[in-house]
Amino acid sequence: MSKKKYILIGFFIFLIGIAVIVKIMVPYLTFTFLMHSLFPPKSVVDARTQATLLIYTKELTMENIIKLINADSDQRVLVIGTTNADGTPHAGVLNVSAKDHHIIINGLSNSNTYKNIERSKKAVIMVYKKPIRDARWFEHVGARLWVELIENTKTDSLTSTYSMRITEHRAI
Amino acid sequence: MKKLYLICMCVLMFSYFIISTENKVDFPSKTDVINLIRSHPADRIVAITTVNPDNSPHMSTVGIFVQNGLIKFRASNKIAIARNLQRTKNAIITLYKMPKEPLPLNQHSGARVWVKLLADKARDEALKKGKSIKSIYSMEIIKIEPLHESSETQKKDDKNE
Repeated sequence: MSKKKYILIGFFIFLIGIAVIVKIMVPYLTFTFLMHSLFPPKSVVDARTQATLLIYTKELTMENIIKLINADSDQRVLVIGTTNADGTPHAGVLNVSAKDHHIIINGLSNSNTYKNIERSKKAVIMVYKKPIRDARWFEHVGARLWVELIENTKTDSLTSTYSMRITEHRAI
Repeated sequence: MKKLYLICMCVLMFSYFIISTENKVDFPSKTDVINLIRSHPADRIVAITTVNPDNSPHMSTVGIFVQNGLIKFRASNKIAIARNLQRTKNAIITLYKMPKEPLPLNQHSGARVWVKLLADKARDEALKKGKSIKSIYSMEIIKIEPLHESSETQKKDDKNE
């Protein structure tokens, strides 16, 4: 092939490239720019902590969360997270049950978790379903519940029962 | 008379032994914790508790591993656990060994591990510049306690306070 033919083929490829950019890329970019300015996407960053809100595991419905909380103790794990008076974190494992979309916590009234709940009225509960062997990360099931204290009743001098309302729930 | 006295003493010693072992809280050791972390991910559950800037608690889970006696995980500095850890430097890792059959709560095994984040120059610089980077977060074990807040651990906590 002569040199002229090579130049011609190169020129044609260049023209096709320009056509692709003009016909596809420019309208696509214009369209996405317009759509983003008209309907801004929902933020994936938490306003309070500036942390990402992207969650990769399955989200459960409230009914399924209640079922999971009331399931047998060998089928799920429950951990309660609170904040100490000095701003340090605290975690505890206590008896938790759910009834009518409310969380009921039973245990020793002198424990740190109870003291923290009484002071701050807030807690985070993680409920985690027993993972299936060899299940991948996004196949794990569970929920994180943000709860607020409604009332506490002292069952006796040592134990208390706290009734809490679920304010928010997310996947694990 | 001597025999009766000896029998009485034996009975008393035996009853004391039973009572003392019943109330004893089994504190997990560092080796137990490391072995639990190294066990199959389907057999144990990890929950990390940190504190948000508004003093509210935060709980989540990450894939942790042990290296040179330190608990580590790899994450972006944009996730809530990482941000809270960088700010407060401390967290609690709750390790839960899944029971094979339904058991009462006080017979569940696991540990609560108080950890302190170790400094990392590259990560701190990225944080100052507001850059997003993925890095390994290394944490030193400060305190290990059983899973349950029994009266014995509570007494210990009160003494520390």
